Parts: sequence; C-alpha cells; structure tokens
Amino acid sequence: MGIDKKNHYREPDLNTGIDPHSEISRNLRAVYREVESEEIPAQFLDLLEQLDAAERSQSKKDTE
Amino acid sequence: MTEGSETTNSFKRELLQALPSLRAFAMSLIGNSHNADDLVQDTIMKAWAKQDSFEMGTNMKAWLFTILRNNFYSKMRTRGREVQDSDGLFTERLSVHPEQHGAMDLKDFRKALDTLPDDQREAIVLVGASGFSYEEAAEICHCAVGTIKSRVSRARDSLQVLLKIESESDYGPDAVSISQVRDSLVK
Repeated sequence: MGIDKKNHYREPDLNTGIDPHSEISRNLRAVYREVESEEIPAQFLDLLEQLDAAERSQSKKDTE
Repeated sequence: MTEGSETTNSFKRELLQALPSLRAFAMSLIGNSHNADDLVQDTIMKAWAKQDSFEMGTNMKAWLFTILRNNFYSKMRTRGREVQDSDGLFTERLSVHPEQHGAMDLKDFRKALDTLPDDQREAIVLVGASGFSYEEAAEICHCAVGTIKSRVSRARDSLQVLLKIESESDYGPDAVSISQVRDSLVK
C-alpha cells in the first residue's frame, strides 16, 4: 500500500471510546480498505503526467 | 535536474501515495464511485495548482483531505445535495466481492454507516479508518477537537444501535443477549 511514515499513517487509535478491536472498528476499516486497495485509476495517473508535462514545458519556456 | 523539478517529483510521489486513501475518503463522503472519482480529480488539479503553498515534509495526506473536503462542501452548497438511491453510497461496492466471507455483515454495516449524518460519518471515518488523530481530523473539518470527539462518539452510538437492530431481526431475540455479552466484553 502506498502509505508510509511520511504521510503520518498510523493504526487508528480510538482511545476515547472505540475499541480498535470492536466490531465497529473492524467493519469501518474493512469498508475503507476495500476502496483503498483498488488500483489507482489510470485517469489520475494520466492527469498527473499531463500536469507534470505542462509544468516542465512551462519552466523550460521561462528559462529560455 | 533542477531543484524545481525535484520538488515537483517528490510532490507528485507523495500525492500518489495518498491517493488510495483519498479515494476511500471521497467514497465515504459521496458514495457513488463515479462522483467520488470526479471529486478526487478536482482535488488533484487544485492541489497541483496550490503546490507552492504546501510545505514539503508536513502532512500531505491531511492537506489533500482538507482540499477534497472543502471542494465537496462548496459543491454541495452550490448544487444542493443530489438525490441518491437508498442502496447507493458505500453499499454499491458490495457486488464486487460477493464471494467474500462475512460480506453480509459488511453490507449491513455500510447501510448503517450511510444513514449517519454527514458530519458524524466523516468524523468516524477520518479517525477510525483514515488513521488521523482527533487533532488532525479537527483541522481537516475546521472545527474543535471536542466537536470531533463528540461526533465520533455519537456516530459510534448510532452504529451500535443500528447494528444491534440488524442482528436482532436476523437472529431473533437471542441476539440481544449476545450483543449484551459482547458489550460487556468491550467495556
């Protein structure tokens, strides 16, 4: 999964009332992870490529 | 490589890393996956345009969640809430994994989650599934930490009630004593 320390991911800490092992917590994470574990749709990767390319060509122009 | 393009690369990398979680959050706000992905797409473009205002090394995920959430609520304000089919929201995704053991329970859970008021649902999702602290969730939702705590607590209470009702109707009166035993174990 693309989650690392940089993104400050931690196991949900529900210290004020929700037991992390409770049925609610488990279900909540299961529902969320189902979406999270899907592959990133190609449209987003394409979009980022386009934004990146546009920026590169712009900065090239700027330095010329 | 210039310094600028290195910054752009690491910005892009971090954005990509946060995307799966951002999509899951968008789904929890909006429900239907098509609209959720539209919202994520808008968020990527806004975040890209504002990348100079992001300080590398700070919490990119929280920053993106804030942009997505602001975007979602400003759209809601201008368009008004769209009518959603009652089985939509998170529930629609169940059909993808019908073979999964325990999928019945998850479907009931999704339905219960979808019935929560928006502010309670987002609070319990941010803290209970996205992995944010109460403080971070409060920043993302522009409210006090105490407000987030009380929303999470009310969401939890509602879910408990809703899920108990489900199990009682599914399994008959014995389910009451089962849930009471479970509660006493949890407490």
